[in-house]
Amino acid sequence: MPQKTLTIEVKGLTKIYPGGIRAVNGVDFAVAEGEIFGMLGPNGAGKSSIITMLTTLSSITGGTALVAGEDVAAHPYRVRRAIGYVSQDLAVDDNLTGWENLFLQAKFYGLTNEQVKQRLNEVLTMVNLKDRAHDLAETYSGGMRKRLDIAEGLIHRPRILFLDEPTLGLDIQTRQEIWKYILFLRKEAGMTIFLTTHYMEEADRLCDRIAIIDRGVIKAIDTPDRLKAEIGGDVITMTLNDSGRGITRAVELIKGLPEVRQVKSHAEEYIVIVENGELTVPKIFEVIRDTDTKITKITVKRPALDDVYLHFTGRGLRDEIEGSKEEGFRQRMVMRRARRR
Amino acid sequence: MKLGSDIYYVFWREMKRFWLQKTRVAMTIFQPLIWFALMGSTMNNLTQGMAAGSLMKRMMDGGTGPLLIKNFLDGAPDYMTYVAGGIIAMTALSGGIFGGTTVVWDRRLGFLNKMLAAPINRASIPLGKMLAIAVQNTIQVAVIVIIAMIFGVNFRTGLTGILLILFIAALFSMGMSGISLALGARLKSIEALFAIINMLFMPLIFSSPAMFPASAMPGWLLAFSHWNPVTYVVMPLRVLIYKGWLWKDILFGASVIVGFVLLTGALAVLQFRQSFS
Ligand SMILES: Nc1ncnc2c1ncn2[C@@H]1O[C@H](COP(=O)(O)OP(=O)(O)OP(=O)(O)O)[C@@H](O)[C@H]1O
Ligand SMILES: [Mg+2]
Repeated sequence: MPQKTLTIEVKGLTKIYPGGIRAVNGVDFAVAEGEIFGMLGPNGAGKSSIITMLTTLSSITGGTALVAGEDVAAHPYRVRRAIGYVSQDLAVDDNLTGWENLFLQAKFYGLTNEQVKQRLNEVLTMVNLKDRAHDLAETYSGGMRKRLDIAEGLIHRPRILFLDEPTLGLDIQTRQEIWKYILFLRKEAGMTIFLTTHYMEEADRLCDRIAIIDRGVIKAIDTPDRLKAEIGGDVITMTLNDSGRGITRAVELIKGLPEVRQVKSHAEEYIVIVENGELTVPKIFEVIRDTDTKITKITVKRPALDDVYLHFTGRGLRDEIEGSKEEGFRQRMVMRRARRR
Repeated sequence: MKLGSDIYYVFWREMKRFWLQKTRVAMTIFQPLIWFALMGSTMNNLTQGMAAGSLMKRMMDGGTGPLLIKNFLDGAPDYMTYVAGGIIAMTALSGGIFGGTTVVWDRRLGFLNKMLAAPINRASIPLGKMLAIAVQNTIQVAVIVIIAMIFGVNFRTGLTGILLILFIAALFSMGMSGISLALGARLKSIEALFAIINMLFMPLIFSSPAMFPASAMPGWLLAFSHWNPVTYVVMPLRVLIYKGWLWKDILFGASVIVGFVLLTGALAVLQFRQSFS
């Protein structure tokens, strides 16, 4: 989107933590005004590290970042005034009511009492918390807390809203509700939204463009549709079984088929990208018939972002990853409870 | 003016939380009650014995004249009156020294980052928290004063003196919280912070005349007590409680504490600036 004004411009951004962990390794990207830009990647990919640098919360080791037209390193205060930040941590204060949480945030952004009254009303309605506004946040469910947290990020009408994993640990209904708000915000307020996620569906549904990030490096940036098109066809996943040393040859033979674009191995499986899945499967069986190799399992499907992810990183977003994330989320909730007395 | 408003709202949050922590508010009343009820009455008897013992020793050493309990307890008529100032100082110390834990919790729960992402002055976070600790301490000490009165302690300088006692104790808790907040900003784990607090708390109490008179301290401890800020809180508090308006002593102690607060406040602000640039 070169004709639009850019509101985030990042060049060679690098983060090395004390101890030498290179969490972000020279990334470049730009986000246009009014765009919903997503960053998709697994645990430890560097998503939060990028967000904390762009929101002035951690120092930039290398490269430059402009946010809302301001250099983040040179003018952090100006950047802070232009942005809203909703962290991955569900950072509402349990000892305050929803209303007080919002009030505090509004005052930190220097809103007048009149503005406070009007905006609080507005955002509470929007996130559907009006009737619970005067209850302590510790009595809220996870979804309500997240909505409150997002509302806090909006109270001062930022030009750019940073959402770090906005639906982590939420059930599907709440997740969909939050997606609705995010789309609403862009439509009604023209807000630019930068979000990170490790949910494929979320990236697909919300984002105008997605950056796929893995181990601190951006592997691809494009619209979800174009990313899927880049794969170029259907995805066949199969497991091979071999008594001798024939697998390499079998793979060579499969690669030789005119319909086959690409063959990759991932864990125990082979991923074959083909033009027409249903027609190619019999041909695959045909071509390896004379080798010692047997196909023990095979599936065909249209490409999803998962496949895009695998295509660009050579790795899958596996279940264990998701499991550990939700575990982390639960631990945070336990910690909160432990804190209350 | 943004700094003033930022400090106020950080303070506002801490106060809201304070009233909610029912256990904490209850402990405010309960703890001094226990001190007076148990320590006070036991020590009343014990100190009489100790005074008698030390009187005997002096007589055998061929010391000068009779020694009264009064002299042994730095001029206090009884241990209860003597220890009231110590309990107030100890309450201020513990209220202040635990102040840094809120930073560690805020960091853990992500609330600190929320504040840091907002356009607020970095200094407002420690300063607002220090202010809240001072006010919370004032409330606690007011409760202690009332309990002390119930236990028969006679505050010689009246209401003005009591207000001054509240003020000095509040300043001290604020000063201690400055150290604790600086530590909290630097250390990332609550365990490490607690370890340091525990390491500091007891020595600070027992190397000061808070609980036991300086006359009972061995020489090396007495020397150390001159470097202990608690000594300089206890001294003016005792003067106000049972000695009367000895302005020189009051002003001396108070100015040491004011200097202490300025120093630790600056320390906390600098540490926050450094930790969260
Ligand atoms: N404060 C820190 N100190 C040292 N290393 C860190 C710190 N924060 C993150 N890292 C490391 O940097 C890498 C990237 O972490 P980051 O939190 O940015 O990933 P992420 O993509 O947000 O992951 P997640 O999906 O788990 O939130 C990881 O290897 C992590 O261990
Ligand atoms: Mg993250």
